[in-house]
Amino acid sequence: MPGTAEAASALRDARLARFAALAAAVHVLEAGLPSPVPGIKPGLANIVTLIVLLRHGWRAAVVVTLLRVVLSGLVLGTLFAPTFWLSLAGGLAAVAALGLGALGRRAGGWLAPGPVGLSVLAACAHIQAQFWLAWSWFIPHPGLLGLLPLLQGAALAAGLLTGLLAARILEAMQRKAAALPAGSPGGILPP
Amino acid sequence: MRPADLLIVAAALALEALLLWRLWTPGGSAELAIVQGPQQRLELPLHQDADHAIRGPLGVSRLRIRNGAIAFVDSPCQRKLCIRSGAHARHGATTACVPNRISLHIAGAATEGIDAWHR
Repeated sequence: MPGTAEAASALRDARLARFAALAAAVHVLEAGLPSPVPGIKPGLANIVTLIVLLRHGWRAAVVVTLLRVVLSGLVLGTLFAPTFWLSLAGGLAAVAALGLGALGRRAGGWLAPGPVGLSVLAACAHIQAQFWLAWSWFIPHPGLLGLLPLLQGAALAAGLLTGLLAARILEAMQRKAAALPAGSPGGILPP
Repeated sequence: MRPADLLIVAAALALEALLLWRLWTPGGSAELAIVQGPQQRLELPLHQDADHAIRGPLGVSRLRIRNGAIAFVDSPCQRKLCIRSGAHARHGATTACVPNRISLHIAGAATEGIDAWHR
């Protein structure tokens, strides 16, 4: 029935919009946190992307990431400024890495990463893309290379942290979904 | 954690180790010390311990390479700031003996270019 399909589509859009708004809010809050080194942030908005990926698929994660980058750029007043492009490059690299991870999950077996592996993969891709864009485009100074080990180490730590948090949240969501009556809207949770 | 998670974390740790080795180890990525004088330019590989001299308007400045780092050890300037700046190994490090018009810059592959730009 077309009416049912439209309603399902509207429901899906509304759900993605809610996730994007949540991710943008976390991103904006995080932008206010002091950072010892420019570029080092916990990346808590990635928890939302990770949950969307694991519950609603890779395309939904791409949509949420793009919306999050644009929305937070609008709110922070950095739309189309250098930090916006850095954020976009990082976000796109992260979802590309998550796409690889999602392929691994589809293949199953020992190739299938969990939230922690996916999060580390995304965090490393994110920082590498941001760094190389900053280095090649904004600050092409060899001295900047000295920051890369620090940024990569921070990305690894942040990826582990956000991955563990995402795993806990997903478990809680699964428990809540299991308590709901059969047929209630839920997500896809491959292995 | 699953096997793939452990594999990803191990790969990230290996990348971190590689970056530390290449970028934070003296002489790791720094391949050449470029010493520029008014009449002479020296490109000195940092992995070879050696002593070098270059002439400026005040006289001869001497530089020493040891363990992947280069330092001014003698210069005919008054305040000896170039010597006091110590040894340099980091990619991008720059110092100079201004009175004797000798500059020193640590460069690696394809590092020349503008420092930065903004708008």
